[in-house]
Amino acid sequence: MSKRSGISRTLKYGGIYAEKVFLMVFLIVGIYEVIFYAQRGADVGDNKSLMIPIYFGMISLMMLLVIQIVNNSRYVPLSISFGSLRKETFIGIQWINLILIIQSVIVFGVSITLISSDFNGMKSFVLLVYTILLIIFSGIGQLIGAASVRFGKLGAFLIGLFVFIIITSGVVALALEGNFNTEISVNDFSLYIKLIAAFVAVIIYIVGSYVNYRVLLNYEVRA
Amino acid sequence: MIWRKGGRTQYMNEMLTQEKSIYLQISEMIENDILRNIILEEERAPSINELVRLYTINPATATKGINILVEQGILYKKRGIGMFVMKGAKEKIMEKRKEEFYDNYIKKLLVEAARLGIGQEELLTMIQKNK
Amino acid sequence: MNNLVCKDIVKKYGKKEVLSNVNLTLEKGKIYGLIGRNGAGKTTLLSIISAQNPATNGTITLDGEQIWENQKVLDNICFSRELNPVMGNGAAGLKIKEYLKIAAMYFPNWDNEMAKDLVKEFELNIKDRIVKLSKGMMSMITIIVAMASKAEFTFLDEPVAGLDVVMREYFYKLLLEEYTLSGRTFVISTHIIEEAADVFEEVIIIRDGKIILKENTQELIAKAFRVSGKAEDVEAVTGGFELHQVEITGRGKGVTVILKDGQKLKEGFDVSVQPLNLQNVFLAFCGKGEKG
Repeated sequence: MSKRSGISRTLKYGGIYAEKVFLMVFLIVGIYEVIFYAQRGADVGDNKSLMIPIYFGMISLMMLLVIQIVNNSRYVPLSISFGSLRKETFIGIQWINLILIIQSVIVFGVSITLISSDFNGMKSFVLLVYTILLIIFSGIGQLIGAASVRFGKLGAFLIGLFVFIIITSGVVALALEGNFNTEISVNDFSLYIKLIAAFVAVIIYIVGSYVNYRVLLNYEVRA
Repeated sequence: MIWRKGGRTQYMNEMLTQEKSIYLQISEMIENDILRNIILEEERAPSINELVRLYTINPATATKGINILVEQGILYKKRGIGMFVMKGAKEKIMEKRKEEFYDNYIKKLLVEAARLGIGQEELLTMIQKNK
Repeated sequence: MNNLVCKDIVKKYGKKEVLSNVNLTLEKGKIYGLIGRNGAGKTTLLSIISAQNPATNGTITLDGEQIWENQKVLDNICFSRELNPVMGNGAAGLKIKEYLKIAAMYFPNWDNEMAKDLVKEFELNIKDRIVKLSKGMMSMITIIVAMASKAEFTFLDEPVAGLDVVMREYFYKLLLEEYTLSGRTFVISTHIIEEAADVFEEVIIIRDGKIILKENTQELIAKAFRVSGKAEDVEAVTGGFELHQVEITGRGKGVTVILKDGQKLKEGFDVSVQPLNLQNVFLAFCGKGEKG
């Protein structure tokens, strides 16, 4: 009875927590939208629906990264100080991530489909990249979150900075290299590459969450 | 002083002081109430819960105080109802206090008198002064 | 369910040992007071015996079962720690209403009626955010969670911090009433010793990470005396006993003795013998200048 009660409350509260986070993403996206319209006015035309996935995509990716760190300072101490097992708390974190990732993918996918242009191939490509990035970011986020527990905010900041530099240089490199190929499609890449990319993403996630788990085992609730 | 609160009778004579163990104070307070005829023989004495609530003390302490009186035959327990004052309790308490009178009062009086150089004659005069 | 036993608990942070060789048995159904100076290790000890912190060494068992990562046991333990205004243990940003709802989800024996009643008694506004509360109100929340959790073993760390004297009295009465009704085991750490002394059945004194005594409060106090008078007389009365807070003024001397089993003060000397209270006893052991 205790085992089951343990998990179910984690799932229940984890769900509530995840939805709160998700709503916050929408809120931020909404704010961006408002600012965007204020600047551009009615003269937007077709690009209107294009911005939604871009904003949502960027913000949800950042959110998934940042929330890992917040989890370790908000969700974890709360869970443990209310008598949860560390194993259970860990499952809670993964559950939250699962909900966030799946919901984000759905919302992102829907918002892309609503773009009136028909780059269908590109759409699915972007969706795949987005999903992979979500997984990678949650994994890296957990690494940073674990670092913040182990090494304090400074350690987390340094690692975060490191990651930021890598991402930015990656983006810059891509931008410099070629122009945006709108004809690109999911099928341009062989199954092989897609599988490797997904595999790498999952590995990163597993590594990140494992490190998080180890740190969690010795977590101390401090006032 | 007795007042009724919510239908229950409460006894509140003295506050607890720092000078003596709480449980001793509790037993003495109940003894005082018996001596002053505030609680008569065969009447109900304060229960543990009432003492706890009145004086904000731990039940174990209150129990200890009550138990002293039970051991000395001053109170007895009526199953399911509570603690009651034994018949003849008042005399018992007076006897007990008489025995302790020398230790509790006379001894200290003599020590202090000696310290102040008050002789026996002077002491007797002082005692007789109090009418 | 009977005893929470700590065996050889050691807690180190790096090289610093904050708890040393703590051996403690908490019997079910008592109200314990945990007193010690700031930094003595009260909060750390409470954290460890509720599995909120791992011990560096040693074991904690409830009826023989280890408590670490043991849901069945932890369902019966509640440590309601001080809410910190900055971090709030993750409660930051939450409203009182939300915090209590989450507590209700986590504690299997949660009594929501009690929680609601206490919110009313404490005159709290459940829509307030926890970070915005005063210290006293945060203490009230800590108390509500502890009480409504209905956990067999409930620990409170400085529950009356920030409460005015009226609310403190209310807390002691609340504690005793809940204890009388449920027989739960409570461990309360506090700085306000004398007020709470009558409420504790047993008192545990912790100094520099070590437990220096654990005794029935009333019995302990009955053995504590302040003896003062002419130095030779005082020495004659307390010959060979462990002395504390020795003060010498001219030919006079004042000492505090806490008698051990079988010891008695010698009679027949002109000395003042004053009974002491728990706070005096605590100062005798942990006061400034007392030998460690």
